[in-house]
Amino acid sequence: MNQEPSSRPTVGAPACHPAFVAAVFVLLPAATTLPAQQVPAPPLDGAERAVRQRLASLQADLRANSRNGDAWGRYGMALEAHTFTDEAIAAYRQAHELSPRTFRWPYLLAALIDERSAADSLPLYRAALALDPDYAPARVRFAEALERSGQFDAANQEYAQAARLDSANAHAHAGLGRLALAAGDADAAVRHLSRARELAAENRSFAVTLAQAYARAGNRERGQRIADAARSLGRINYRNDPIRSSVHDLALDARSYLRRANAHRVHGELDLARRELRAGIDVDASRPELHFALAEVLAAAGNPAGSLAAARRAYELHPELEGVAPFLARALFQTGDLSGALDLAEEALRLNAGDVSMMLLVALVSAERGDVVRTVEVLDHAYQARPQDPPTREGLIRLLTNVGEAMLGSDLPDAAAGQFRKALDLAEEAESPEAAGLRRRLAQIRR
Amino acid sequence: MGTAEAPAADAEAAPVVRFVDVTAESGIEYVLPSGTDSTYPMPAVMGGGLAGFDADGDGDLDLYIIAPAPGGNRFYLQQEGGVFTDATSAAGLEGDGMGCAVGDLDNDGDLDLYLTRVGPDRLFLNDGEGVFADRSEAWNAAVPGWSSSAALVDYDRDGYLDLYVARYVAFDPARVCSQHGGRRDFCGPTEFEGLSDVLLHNLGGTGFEDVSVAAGITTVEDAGLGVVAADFDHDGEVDIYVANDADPNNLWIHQGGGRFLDDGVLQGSAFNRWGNSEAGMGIAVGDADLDLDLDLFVTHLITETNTYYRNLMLPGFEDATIDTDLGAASLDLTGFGTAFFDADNDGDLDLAVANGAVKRRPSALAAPGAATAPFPFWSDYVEPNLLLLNEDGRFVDASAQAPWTELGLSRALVPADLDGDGDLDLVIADLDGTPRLLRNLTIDPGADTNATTSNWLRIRAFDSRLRRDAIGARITVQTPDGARLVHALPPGSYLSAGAATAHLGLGAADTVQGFEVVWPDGLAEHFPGAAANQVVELIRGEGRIR
Repeated sequence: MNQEPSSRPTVGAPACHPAFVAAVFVLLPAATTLPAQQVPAPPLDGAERAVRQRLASLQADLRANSRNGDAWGRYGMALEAHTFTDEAIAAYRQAHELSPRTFRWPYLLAALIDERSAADSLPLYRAALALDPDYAPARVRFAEALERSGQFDAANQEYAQAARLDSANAHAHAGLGRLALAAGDADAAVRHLSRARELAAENRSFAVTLAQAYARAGNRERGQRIADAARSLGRINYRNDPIRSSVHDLALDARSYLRRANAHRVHGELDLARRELRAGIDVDASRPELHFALAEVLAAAGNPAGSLAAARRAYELHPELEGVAPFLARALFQTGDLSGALDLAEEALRLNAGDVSMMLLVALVSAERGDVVRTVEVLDHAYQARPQDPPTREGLIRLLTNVGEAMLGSDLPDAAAGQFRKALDLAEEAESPEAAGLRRRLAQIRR
Repeated sequence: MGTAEAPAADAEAAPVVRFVDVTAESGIEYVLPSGTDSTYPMPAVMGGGLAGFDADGDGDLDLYIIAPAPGGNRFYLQQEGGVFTDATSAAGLEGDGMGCAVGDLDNDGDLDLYLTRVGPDRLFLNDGEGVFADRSEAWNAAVPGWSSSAALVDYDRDGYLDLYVARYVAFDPARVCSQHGGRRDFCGPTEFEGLSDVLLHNLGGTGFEDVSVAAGITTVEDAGLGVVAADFDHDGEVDIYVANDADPNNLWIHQGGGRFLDDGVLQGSAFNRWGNSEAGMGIAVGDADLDLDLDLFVTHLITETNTYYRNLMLPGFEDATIDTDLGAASLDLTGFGTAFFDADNDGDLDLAVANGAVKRRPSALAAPGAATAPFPFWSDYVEPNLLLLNEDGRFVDASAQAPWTELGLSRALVPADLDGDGDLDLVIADLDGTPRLLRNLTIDPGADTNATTSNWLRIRAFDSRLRRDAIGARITVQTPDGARLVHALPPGSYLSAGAATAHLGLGAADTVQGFEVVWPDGLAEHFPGAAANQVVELIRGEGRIR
């Protein structure tokens, strides 16, 4: 068979490969110097108006101050904030050349290059740390790049130096623990990772690596407990790096507001989260996820009326948005609007027939209204679903018991026994202490 | 603590294994339709499945190509001379889907096909001549929700193949996602709730029973994409590894009695070295470090490396991506299909990875203004694939030459000896592109090179009582260079299925001294040695090679 010339596009000349491009940026700065008037312009078709305006404004600044390194750097930050990475790299490069004494430009450039090639980022981290050797977050990132490049001894030294600079830097301790684990020293890994976890209890990565270290050290039970606890932690790990955070704070698209708000929520900063969400809604009020997140934040902040309004708006914009119908149903129930709550709960069940919490809500409202048939029907569905999470299961047991008692009051002992039987099943399955009481009550009914 | 300085690139010393794209000569001109449009439907960027299997029992491999767009699936029968003809309609395999599993589900001696979909899955039983009947409902096989990859596994050792179906997310087509300053793009998995996976127990070749709850696998709802089943800890019970997209991977360790426990976190295969869950897509499985256990390799998103989990048999794994030089080549690419395979028949396992972005790349690889045939929609998404050669336990990027430099949106990848010459070729499914048939020229009947250093064996473990391949059989081969471990396993990968036949490169060795087989039910059996460069069939209970 002959080799046909390919009709597919190819990477082409090696110079087009991104890693090679990054290396050229690092090794041959003079060759990539942009003419002062050549401002990298990202493709903005489809971008949100606030983003287009902001970038246009910064471009105008640059044209007026094309030899100003900080203007280039600010432009780079805005580009990076909106994930225009190629253009941001070019702008940071120019900023570094024009303002060689400013720490943040080689640092931000290094961090971006690092996403594509850790090895290529090393000279830039070194250049940044020569300007400010005491900025611990940069030293940690440098250490991580060394680790990714396989330079484990050097990485170990840099993590240790970062920990000396800032003993509360959890990532430095985690790095030491990770290297110890990889080197087979599980006890040292447990020690370092425990310190990291103490400093950043919300960080899932530290927790799961510690769990693994315990298992390697022969303490699987302890490891399993930590692993189980880590399930409730979010997948995004935040780090205290004011310079890098200042980049992301510049993002003006609606999604970035939501992301920043979620970061604030993780840290319990509800007021900051609320402000971000309001700002995001100002940018694009048609985003249901922003309204829904605002509803959740306001509820957590003790503002039920505001929460209800925001949830209503989210529901109007996208009734099938995950979680919004159940949230609104609960909110309406809490305000005493039983009809509204029932409608929304039924709608939520239409969207997700297995949502036991909504079954309980329907049962509760139906019972309140004397609709015994619907109450029993939906409780039976909930029972069949066998909820595993303790609050829902306990709620179901309580409702089954209450309905059973009501049936007894209406002289329906057989039906009542059926409800108690189900409650007892669930309690026994959960090995709940309530099982004994339910067993006694069931025996009384049968007698 | 050792230091592993990255070796300097040495283009002169880089090993070369030649592949050539023979799609144009194969008769396959079909373009796999993604179904993408201005609404950026997520299934369109995740699909692109593939099966390479002998559907009609004539001894060569046929191809089933699976598309997310309605009516997009195609079935090709291989004819003499390596030409493929479209037999979709005659075979009864029209439709759409995501991926598939292939195996003999009713133990009647032919290969049946399970098709995963965004919606109810479908089961097709083979009549033995490559004509399939839809038995989805009768077999209780219409698993709902978005299914991705599936693995055949006889977990209860009753002789019938059960099915583990990885499921992805509760997709909501109304969800709008964006990036790059608000430009619309495909949603990622974190926009939706994950789905629990499904385990279907085979009821004696007559149907399936959903035993997911009893098996304990519904305790997590993660975005599953890749799945392989094998006995990772050699305790005699088959385990299941699932690559999840942005969620921790699952290592379901079989506790016996049909109960599974996810031990991925403590065994070091749920997260990468950094304790991060990554965008797990495809899985390669094989003994990459030649220490007689199964290692894992999982492909990931751009800005994440692909991850190599080295089996330490503690039991447990370690992320050895950095130590094996497997990180750098993948950092700027989004990997999907992948396979360990001995590309050069030198006795160790190399790697192939199919790539293609799921969101607009931060840096487009297609030259500005260049044609991005056949579908310009993907110009910001296309990427090259990777060939990584194993050189004494470190992997060297050997992708500098065509066809590896060609850009596309590749998904499923299956290694298979399509032309029967003794080296492993590759088939790769490309979204909105023609499937790629890459012929391996390590053994080239037209040339007289390599013949003495590229010996090989293809090994089939056959259970004549069951009338089918013994999927999961563990085979230790005594070679002049030491023991080598292979498994009778489909290649894993992503949305794909292939023959459960093991391939072993032997380098210069022209014989092997013997085979030790551990059959899926635990029985161990010895077989005598054999000469290289042939297909050997190890037949259970006979202690002899056919």
